[in-house]
Parts: sequence; structure tokens; C-alpha cells
Amino acid sequence: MTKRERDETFDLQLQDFLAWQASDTAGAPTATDVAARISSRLGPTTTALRLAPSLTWLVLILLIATLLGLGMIGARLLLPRPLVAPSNGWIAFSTQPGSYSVALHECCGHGGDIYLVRDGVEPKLIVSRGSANTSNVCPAFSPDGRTLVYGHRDGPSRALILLAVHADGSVSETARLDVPGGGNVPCPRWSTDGNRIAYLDVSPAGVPLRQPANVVRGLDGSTLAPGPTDPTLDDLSRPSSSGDSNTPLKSPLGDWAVLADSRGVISERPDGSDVRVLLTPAAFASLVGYPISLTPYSFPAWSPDGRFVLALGDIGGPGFAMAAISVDSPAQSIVLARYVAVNSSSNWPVRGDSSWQPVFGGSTP
Amino acid sequence: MSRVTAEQPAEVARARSDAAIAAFVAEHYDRLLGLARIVCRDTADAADAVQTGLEQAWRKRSTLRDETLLRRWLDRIVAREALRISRKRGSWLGRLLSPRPDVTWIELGDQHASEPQAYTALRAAFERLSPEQRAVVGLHLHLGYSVAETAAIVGAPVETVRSRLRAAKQRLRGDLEESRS
Repeated sequence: MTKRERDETFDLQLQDFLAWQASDTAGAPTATDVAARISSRLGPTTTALRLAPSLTWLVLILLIATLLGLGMIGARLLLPRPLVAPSNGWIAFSTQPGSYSVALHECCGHGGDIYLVRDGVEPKLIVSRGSANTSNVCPAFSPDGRTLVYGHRDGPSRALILLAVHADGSVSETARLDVPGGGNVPCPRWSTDGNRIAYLDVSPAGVPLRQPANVVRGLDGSTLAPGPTDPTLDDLSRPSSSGDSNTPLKSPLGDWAVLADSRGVISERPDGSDVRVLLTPAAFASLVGYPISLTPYSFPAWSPDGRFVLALGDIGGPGFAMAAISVDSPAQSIVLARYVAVNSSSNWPVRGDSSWQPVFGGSTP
Repeated sequence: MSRVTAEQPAEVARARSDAAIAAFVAEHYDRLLGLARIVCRDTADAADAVQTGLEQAWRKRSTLRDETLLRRWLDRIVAREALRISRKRGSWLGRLLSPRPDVTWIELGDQHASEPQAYTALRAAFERLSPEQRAVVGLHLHLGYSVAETAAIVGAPVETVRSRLRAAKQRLRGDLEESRS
């Protein structure tokens, strides 16, 4: 007998055995018994009853989805809003550092541009250096947030230029105050009442001074004596354009100060207590998309409500990234600009070269 | 199978439903019980598997779009239920929670008294196969499904089913030869 024949014979033997096994069901309930049991368990099978399990699942899924939705809505209501609300105003910044030092601001003759940026909106160029590489520095929002002033220089011609800033980020020039003399590009600051503008000038009459003078101008172009609402010399002084992040920057409310060191972005009380690490160098690098650890080189401004601070990181190129970091717990942060080119690799915008638009009454002007 | 509408009186609906279930069960019961008996090795377990399988099938019968596949669909449901029960019986937890009743003391005689002499050794060998092997042997050699159809019914790859068949036959042959020697 061949192997194949042996296999077939074995299969037949096995089939006979299986048939016998299958029939060896003595003691099993009859089909009638089983049908009766199934009937008693099922009852009449109407369409509604047949669909009942599916409907039960549907109701359960809807219930779970509703609970999840309610949970998410509740979480949104309970958790703090992601970033700069309620004062999500525009942030103006220049790519050129303002300075009363001619050597610094005129370095390399590259001039500077001014941008507006805010959460969710890419930087918008509002003042261009143009082909003449004009200098445009120190954008500063008025206390009511409606007007932006900046210093301008085109060759020997200097001016303070005032722009009306609209809600959509568009701007229109409303005034141009000529700045006599021939010194540095003026770096303007507003008086607290918003009616005057001050700046330091090293050569207000065309003759260089040993110390810069504090010049105050009215919005009509008049020159005024400094008053109690005007910025002081300290207010108008500027840090080195190489960076300022290691010097604490006090918040507008005076409750926090931020600085950066090897630990990362640090917040502390003005007296040095309650030190908190807001972002490690690795976290800041990750935030702005830099491959290795990064510490901000400058904190150029606070948000008007004092809850967020701007941070600039040198990401090479030469260029910088701008982020807003919350000082409240839990710390939140968001990138406002991933790469902005500076006007020159020798000059980096720092503290005072950005301004966060104040928003009064919870709405943008 | 006629559908029953909700507007019919409850008694009439009940009677029609009972009759439909009875016809459905009668048509398939013997075949399914035989298959489950082969997989489970135990008549009571086999009856449980068939009842559960038929109930599941009756509940879900509206999902079967092609009536010509009814037989295979039922075989699949019952085979898988029988496998589930057999595996549960084989697990230590299953043995602990639902042990087989030790009924030898109430049996009036040898339960295999009617067993043909030729099947004694084969039955002992067959009982040593795994539930998965018994299932593929039953579906392929008893019910006549192809290897591919068997694979679809047990939810296993074709090669796995071939391998289970080969291993089952080898083991049965080996055990039989051992018992003869």
C-alpha cells in the first residue's frame, strides 16, 4: 500500500469515527427543548426588539460623547485661556536697535524695519527700510494703544513718525515731527498722559554734547520742558544691543521680574524671592524650534497686563525668534515669530525695541 | 423567516416567533450538535455551545445578507463558541470555577459500552488533541469544508489550519500505533 493510499484509508477511518462521535449525543436536549429555551429567552422578535442592542449601543455612545463634550467645554471654561487674552494686542518691534550712540545705531548702514505681530498672525511689515536703508527704531505704543511712534533717520534727516494703528494691523501716518540737529536716530517714549513724547539726543542743535539731552516734544511738534509725566533719563536709557536678559526686567505691575541664566527663563519677586524656572534652555529651544539648548538674549517688553513677557532667542542666521512666556502657573508660552532677520549681525534688537499694544476695555482700538 | 410587526397582537406575535425559532433550530440542530460534540468532547458542553450559538445567530440573523451562506455562518458561530467553552474548560481558572461533575458513581454502566471496539483507541487519542485541532479536523473531515473554508470559519490563516490538520493526524496515528504495540 502506498503512502497516499494509507493516508486515504486513515482519513476514511477518521471520518467514520467523527461521524460516530458526532452522533454520540445521548443525554443532549432535543431540538425542541433548545428552541423552547431560546424562545423563552428572546420573546417575540419585533423590529424594535431586534434593534434594541444596537440602539442601546447608540444611546451609550451618544451619552459618552455628550459627557466628553461637556467635559471639554468645562475644561475650556475652567482653564486659563491659552495666551495673551484679554490683551491680545499687537506687538511692534524693530529689526534695528535704537540707541543714542551713533556708533551703534548707524553701524553697517543697514537700517531697520518695523513689524507688527500678535498671537496667530505672522509678522506684518509696516515700515520698510527701503532701498535707502533708512533707520526705523524704537516703536512705542501710546498709552491708549491707538498710536505708534517711532524714530526715523534718512541720511541727515531725522523725525518722529506717528502712525494710527487699526484693529486689523493696518497703519496710516498721522504726524511727522522733524527732529533738528544731526545726531542719533531718536528713540521715543510716551509721557504717561499720552500727550508728549521724549527722547535722548546727543546733538540737538547740531553740536555734539558730552551728555545726551532729554528732549520733550508736544504732539504738535513743539519743544517742551520736561514735566512730571515725562519719561526720566533712566526710562530713556538703553541696554547694550548685545543683550539684556541677565538684568531683571520688572513687570508693569511690579509683582514680578524676569531674567535668564544657565537655568533658563527665571521669574522672581522684585526682592529676589520666590524664584521659579519658567522655561529651561532645552524647553525654550524646543519652543522656538532650535536644535540645541537656548537661553533668551533679551526680554524686550512685558504685555500691558504684566502676565506675559516677550523673549528673544538668537537662532543664528543672523536672526532671532520671538516668544511670549506667561509668568503665571501653569506656565504657558507661544511662538510669535520663528525667524526675523536683524539689520546687521553686529546689532540686535533688545529691550525697548519692542512695544506691546495696551488694550483698554478689553477690545483693540 | 417572516418578520413580525409590532402592531400584531402579542400572542400571535409570540406564537409566530416561537414557530420560526423552532423551525430554525430543527433545521440545523443535529449538524451543529455533532460539530460541537467533536470540538468539546462533552455532550453537555456541546449542547451549551449550540444553544448559545443558535441564540446569537437568531438575534443577528438580519445581518446575514446572503441566505446561501447561512449554513457556514451558523457553523462558524457554533464552532467558535465550542472552542471558547473548550478553552475555558482547559484553563486552570475554568477547572476551578466550573469543574466537570464527577459522575462515575451514579453511572449505571460504562458510558462507552456501546462504543465500537475499533474506536476505543481512536477516541482516547482524539481526546488528547487540542480544541483547535479538533475543530479543524471536525470541520474539514466531518463536515467536508475545504482547508480555506475551514480557515475562514475558525478565523485562522490557511497555513495554520493546514499545519493543525497535519499535526492532528500525525498525533492520532502515533497514538494509535503506540496503543497497538
